[in-house]
Amino acid sequence: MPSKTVAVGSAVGLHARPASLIAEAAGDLDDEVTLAVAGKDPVDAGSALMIMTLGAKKGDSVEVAGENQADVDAIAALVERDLDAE
Amino acid sequence: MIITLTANPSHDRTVALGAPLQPGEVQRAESTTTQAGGKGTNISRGALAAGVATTAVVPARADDPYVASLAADGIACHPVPHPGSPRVNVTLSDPDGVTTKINSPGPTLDPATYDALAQAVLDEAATARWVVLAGSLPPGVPVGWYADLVLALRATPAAVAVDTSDAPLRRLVERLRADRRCAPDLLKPNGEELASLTGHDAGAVEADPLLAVEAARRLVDDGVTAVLATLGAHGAVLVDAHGAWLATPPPTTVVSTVGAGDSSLCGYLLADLEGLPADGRLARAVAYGSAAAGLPGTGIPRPDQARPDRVAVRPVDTAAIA
Repeated sequence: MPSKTVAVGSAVGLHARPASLIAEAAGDLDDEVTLAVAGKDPVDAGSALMIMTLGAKKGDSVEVAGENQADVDAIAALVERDLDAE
Repeated sequence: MIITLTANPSHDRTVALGAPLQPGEVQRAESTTTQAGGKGTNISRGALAAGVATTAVVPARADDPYVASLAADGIACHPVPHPGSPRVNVTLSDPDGVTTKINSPGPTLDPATYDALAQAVLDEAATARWVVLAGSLPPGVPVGWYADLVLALRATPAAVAVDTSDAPLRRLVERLRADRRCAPDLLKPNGEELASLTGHDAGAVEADPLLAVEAARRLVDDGVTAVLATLGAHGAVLVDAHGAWLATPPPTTVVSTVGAGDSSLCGYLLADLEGLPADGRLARAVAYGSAAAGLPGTGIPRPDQARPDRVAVRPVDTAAIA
């Protein structure tokens, strides 16, 4: 299964607003994409609430995994961006 | 620490009429009182009165009169900014004790607001023993939101209690039947809500504690750790994996039942924080509910107003009704 590990780009971490934007994008995909941080179970990237439970801070490594590389790349790009600044 | 979430808070305005309500006429009120309310806020009020640390999470601007009202009463509040303002719920009470309640739907929450609200609850939960998700969901919030929140709160050390009704309650139960991780540590339905989940007749469940135990047992079998079902004047039942208990209240002169269910839940949580066993938690719940029924308006009792020593608790032999 394709996966990619990236560092969180948002200054506030994967807090409410970045989590909402990632969940919205993941919700538009046909297949499920998951996000994982070290020591915790992967969560559904389509749920802002579950993304928030990761407690990922700026710079933390997040593993994005999914059924196809294009989905993984799209969500990984969002994780890397400073979404809170936009 | 008890964290409460009131997603749809309200200013509870009580209008005391000097004569029975006359629809279509102009009437004078003898007095009006307003209190910052909502189920979660009521529970925070009771926790504060008992000296237990609590924070009320509500969608409201920091400068909203609702937040100022909580601050004036000494209740710690975590307001989540929101363009709207809490609704006003009106209770009209007449001299004969007849009350008419008019509850507003509340302002619509957009996804950014309810995601921020969830984030606030998750942040507060990191240091909490209990998180209470209470009341209706405002317009705009997905009906399965409480189920999502319970699942998300599994990542925190806090236990989760849910007290809601109608579609959000039904959806929560559907979801926990499919995924036990969505099952809360405590569910507090009243007789009518419990009956709606199991297809029993509401009046029958309220009047027959054994039926209530049977209905609550199904929810425990589905993964809910404990079910506290309040049955009005008939008292309450508590069911968990270890057994079932029935408590009957002392004789009570009912002044206003508004807030009695919230008080019962509050009493249960306070007793749990003190480490009391199941029968002691149930006795405190019923004592708080009875004390609230004897107080005017949305009265939330102080510890000295509740008399758990006057509540009769007995175990129910569930084998007999299985």
